[in-house]
This record gives sequence, C-alpha cells and structure tokens, in this order.
Amino acid sequence: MAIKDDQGRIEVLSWNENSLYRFRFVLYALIFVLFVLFFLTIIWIQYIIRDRRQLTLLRISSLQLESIQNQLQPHFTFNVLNNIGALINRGENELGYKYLNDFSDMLRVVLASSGETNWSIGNELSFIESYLRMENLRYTDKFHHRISVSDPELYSRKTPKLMVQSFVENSIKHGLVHKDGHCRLYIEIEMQTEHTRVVVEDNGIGRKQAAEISRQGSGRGLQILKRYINVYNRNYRTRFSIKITDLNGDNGESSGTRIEILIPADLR
Amino acid sequence: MGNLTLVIIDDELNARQLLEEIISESPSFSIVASCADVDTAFREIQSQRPDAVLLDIQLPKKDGFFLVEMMKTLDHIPEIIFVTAYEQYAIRAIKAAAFDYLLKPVRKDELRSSLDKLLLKKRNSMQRARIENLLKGLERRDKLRFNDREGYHLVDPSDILFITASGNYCEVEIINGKNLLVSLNLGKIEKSLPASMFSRVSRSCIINTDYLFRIDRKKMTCLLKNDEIFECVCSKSYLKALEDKF
Repeated sequence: MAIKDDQGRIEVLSWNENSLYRFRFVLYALIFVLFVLFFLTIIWIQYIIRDRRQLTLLRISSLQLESIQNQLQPHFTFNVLNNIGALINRGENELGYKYLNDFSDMLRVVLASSGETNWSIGNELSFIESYLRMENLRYTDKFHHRISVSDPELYSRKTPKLMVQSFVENSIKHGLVHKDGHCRLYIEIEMQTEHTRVVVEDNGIGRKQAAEISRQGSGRGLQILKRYINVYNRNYRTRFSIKITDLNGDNGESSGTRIEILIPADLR
Repeated sequence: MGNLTLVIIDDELNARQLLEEIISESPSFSIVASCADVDTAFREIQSQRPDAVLLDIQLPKKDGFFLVEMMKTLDHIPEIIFVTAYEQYAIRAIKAAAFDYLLKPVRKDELRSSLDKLLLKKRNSMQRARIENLLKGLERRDKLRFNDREGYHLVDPSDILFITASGNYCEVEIINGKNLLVSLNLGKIEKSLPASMFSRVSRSCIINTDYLFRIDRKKMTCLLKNDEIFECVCSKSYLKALEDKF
C-alpha cells in the first residue's frame, strides 16, 4: 500500500499478493460454468413447460375429437329417422324394420366405443358401409361405392375413430349430393411399413364448385380432426398426413376429389 | 270454398312421398308439384302459383333460403313452411318470415294443424276480400255535379241533408249551413242520388235518411238533425214508402 506523506514523497508501507490471484483462471472457469449451467436450466425449464403444454394440447384435442366421435350428426340422424318413418307410413314395414336395425347398429357402435379415440380399420369400414347404406336410403341408391383392402392384416390396424368416415361424409355432402347422374366413391386401404394408406376418391363436383355452393366450410368434425393431427404430429415420430388432390378430366373440368390419408401404423 | 294448393321441395324422395301421403289424407289440400331442387321448384311456383310451399333447407346446389330470396321477386309469394331435420336454421327461417317451421321426422298432427291454420288464414283473407269488395260497391257514391251560371259544384251525397223543389229550381241543403240553388228539377236530381240513402217525403222534398231522427204523423213533418234541426213537410203517400225502409 502506498501513502503520500506531508512532503509529497511516496512511501511504500507494505505489499501483499492476493491469495486468490493464483487461482484466477480456475475462478474464471467456474464463473463460466455457472453461467452455462444457469442458461441450460432456463432452457430445460422452458422445454418442460412446452412439453407439458404439448401434452395438455394433445389431451384436449383428443378429448375434443372423442366428443365429436361419440355422436352422429344430428342432421343425418333425423333425416334417416324421417326416411324410416316414411317407409313405415307407406306400409313397407319389413324394409323400415331392416333400416331401423342398421341404424341402431350405427348408434350402438358409436355409443359403445365412447372413451376410445382409436379403433380398428375393420370397425371403421363396417361403419362406413352402414353409413353409405343410410345415405342410399335417403338418396334412393344414388351412390355407388367400392372398398378395397390390400391385405387382411390391415383390418386390425388402428385408425382414429370415424376419421375415414368423416372424409367419406365430406365427399357425399359437398361433392356427390350436388352431382346429377352416376355418383362413384372409391375407398382404398393399402399396407405400408410405417403407415396405413387410405384413399377416398369421388367423382363429385370438386372443391372449387362445392365452395361456391356451400355457405359453410368443412364441418366442425374435420376441423377438430385436423387440429388433433397437428398436435399429434408435433409429439410423435411417425406422423399423420392428409393430401387433397383436385381431379381433372381430359377437358380440364373438375372430375372429383381424391383424399390420401397416411395413418401411423404404430397407432394404438 | 277453394282448396289450399301446395308445392313440396325436398331432395329426398322418401321425404317427399311421406309429405304427399300425409297431405293427401285430407281433401282440403292439393299438391300441385313435388320437386327435388330449387330451380325446378321455382319454375313450378311461377306457373302454378301455389298458396304455400313445404320447403327443406339443405338442398343440392341451391338451398332453401336461396329459394326464399328468389320468390321475393314474384308478385304472388306463397306462404313458407320449412320442413327440416335440425333446428340449427330455426332463427334464420323465422327471419325469412316463415309461416311455420316443422322438424323431421314429421309429426302428422303438427303438419295437419299447420296446414289447417294456413287454410283458415286463406279463407279469412278470401272472406275479407269479398266483404271489402261488397263494401266498396256499397260505398261507391260518386260526387254529384250541380251546375250554376258560373260553373258547377261537386257535392258528396252524404253531405246533403235534404233537397226541396221551388219551381224550376231546387234548393240543396248541405251540412255546415250551406245551400245551393240548382237549376234542375227534383225528379232529375232524385235519379242521380243513391237510392239507399235518400227518400222522397213529399212531392217537393227529398231527405237524406241518414240524418232523419223523427217522423211526426200528426203534424206530418220529419225532423233531420245535423248541427241544427231541420223540419220538412211530408205527405202521406210518400211516408209509407219511407217506413218500409226501416
């Protein structure tokens, strides 16, 4: 330590080396490590929060999906009942009774599976068959369909409940109902290693014209389904994919819509 | 009395047939057309001019509200009864001034009571139109034209209290204390007056019976009242005819 005396001379009293001076590089390293740890912790906490939010989102969207899966469209339901009523009123009791049974099966399947978000492709396809039978009752056999399944093993693979059906319903409601003449619908299920590939193709009026007719967009069911898929894809390695293609005939006019859905094969 | 004519619009054959069957059980209603889409329906409505349409809302290509919009251009707009599966459109339907809104599966009694209400409404309005026509015919009293030297007066017959003859002239007493001297004889004037309102009480006097309130057989006078009281002399032979009126 240096002090100035009254004559202005500088006098050195004592000089000591700081005992920590020798460890200064260690200290620098320590401070650096602490900083890094601090930031890592923040990132880690953020990650946990995000992860939890993702899980909550997944839970919410799967609950929403479930709630929409556990009901039949009221509009569809009451129109079917009206048709069955018409058959009874006309005295076609046998036929009316048959359709009543079919419709009961649909209701039962939907109600009995409540609580599950996913079920087997086999269940899905038999539900679609019943659904198309009802639509053909309403629209006097307007719709012709073909379902092909490339491998019997596919029947036991899983799909979100009523996912394929809601695309089939969309095809009918927005594509085929507005079409005069022959209405065709193809459903194709194909085996892939990571995915189940589903194709729904119609020869309806196409999306462009459908948008002009319909004042409302695609139904609430499909919106919920899309949100569920978005959240699912952020959380799992094998992802869903939906591809919509507008089909065009030789003359360039719309000749229908193809929907290609990839469902993760490991869906439980 | 006329039947109620109906057009059915529904894209489902069974739904149309069901309505047709229920409606045909009653002879008061007749279905003039049954259509699966809006364009066909509009053509039928234009040519058949039905009293009412039974209209589904979700239809191919154009929906039920579209038809309502189209019908606004017609000079004869039928009543609208919506028949639909689900109440999601109820508010809009009511705003579109629907007569009624029925849900599928259709209840027979609901449909019938709705149609009955419509029939009643139609009959009432027909009755009203007839009565109005009748009243119009009764009330159709043209104004009378009385010439004088300068020009002419136009007088509503119901404003005339009485008319008395004096030589070749007639004096027309009008409410509010006015009177006119007219160069016409009483017989000519009488012909132009509405017979239901005027009566001759003597050779020289015609009164408006709307203002008559007293006949005195002893003095042989009749009294008319408006703002003031007027006394007219009657003669026996005309009085009888007058009495037949009351």
